[in-house]
Amino acid sequence: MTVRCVDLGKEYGGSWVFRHLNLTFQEGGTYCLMAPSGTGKTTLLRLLLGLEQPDEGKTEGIDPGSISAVFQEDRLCPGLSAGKNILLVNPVCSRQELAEEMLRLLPADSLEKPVSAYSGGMRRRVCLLRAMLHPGRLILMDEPFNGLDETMRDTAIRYVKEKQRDRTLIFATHHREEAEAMGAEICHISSGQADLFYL
Amino acid sequence: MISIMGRNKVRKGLILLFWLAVWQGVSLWMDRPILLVGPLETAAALVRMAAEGDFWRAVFSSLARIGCGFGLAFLAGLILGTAACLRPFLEELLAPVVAGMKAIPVASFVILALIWAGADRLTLVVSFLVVFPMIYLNTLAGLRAADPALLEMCRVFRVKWPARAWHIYRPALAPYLLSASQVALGMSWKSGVAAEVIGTPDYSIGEQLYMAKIYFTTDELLAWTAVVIALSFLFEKVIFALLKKGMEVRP
Repeated sequence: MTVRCVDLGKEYGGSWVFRHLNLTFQEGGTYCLMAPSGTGKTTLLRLLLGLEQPDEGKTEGIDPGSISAVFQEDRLCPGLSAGKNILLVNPVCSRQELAEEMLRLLPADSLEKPVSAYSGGMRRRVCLLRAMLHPGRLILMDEPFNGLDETMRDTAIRYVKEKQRDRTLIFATHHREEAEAMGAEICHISSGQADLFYL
Repeated sequence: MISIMGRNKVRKGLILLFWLAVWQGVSLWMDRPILLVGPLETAAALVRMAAEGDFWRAVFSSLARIGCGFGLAFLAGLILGTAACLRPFLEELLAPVVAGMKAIPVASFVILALIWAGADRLTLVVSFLVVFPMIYLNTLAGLRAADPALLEMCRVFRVKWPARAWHIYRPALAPYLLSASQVALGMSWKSGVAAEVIGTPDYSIGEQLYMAKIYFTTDELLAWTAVVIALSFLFEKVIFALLKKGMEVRP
């Protein structure tokens, strides 16, 4: 799924978060949005997710029925187990696959517990599992590795890269090393403009 | 060794015994059975009444009428509350009716229901009218309390509406519906029996209370009151436990 932002602009309360944003995300590519806080990374992701409407320009090439996401907040049903949270968004996932995949990022003794009993890092890993096991062709992630310690972050990055396959992945982060580890093309958003270049 | 829970139970039992003794003492001191009889005479009247078929017929008739009124009001409140949450116009349309139901005194309801529905359906109608607004308003509030972030997540992942209803709306609704039900269960009994006393439908607890008042059989009056308290308590415990089970989120 090749995604384009064409002359995209978004304003809140009369001031522009960004304007004239022109970006192309090639199918199967990995892209990292990097920018200081408050410069519109989350806003751009929300526009791509279809949760906000642009005030200028448009997005192209997005199939709204084929999007997977990791939100800035966990957005998990607190009373449900990790498996049930994943099955909620992907009910056709086989139980065996689900069990095998969960064990790659979560301790075995945690699988029956509600996610409300999990640590912040464990909940983040459930979010990553949920996004990567969903069949969406476009994966959008807002600071996906937040709250993970260094070892677990490396494991999670390897997992995401493996499960991405030929899907388009766009994520936002403040950490350059995460972008490097993901092998992502970095997209700097600054002063309302975007520059796309290879690392 | 007596546990803390065991000690608490003993203390509560002793407090109950103390007040029963006070009641018995006051009735002996007054020595006027028309005004007050003691717990022993009340218990004796209860045993005597329970041996008669009409006692059970009255108990089950009232239980069925109040239970039906509560059940219908619960379903109507849940369905219309959900519909009003989805269609704000329906909420506006129902607002004056619900406000009226909340404001009109139960006694007025009883008279109106007696004229419109007759004595036989009186209890059911009054229980319905008392319970419906509580369930309806709390259904609305509970559904609106659903986490918007989770609803956005469902929108992005295209989660089907039955799964949204079960996993997002049901847990949000649960605390509102459970607390409303707890109050409504007690209110349905109080209002239902009060309606029966005024309308005196055949074979009802209210009719028996009314007869006890007419014939100054204070022991039977207190015995029927004890029956109402016990039935209301059991009704509340059983229905509340079922609702709680239905609302439980299993990991």
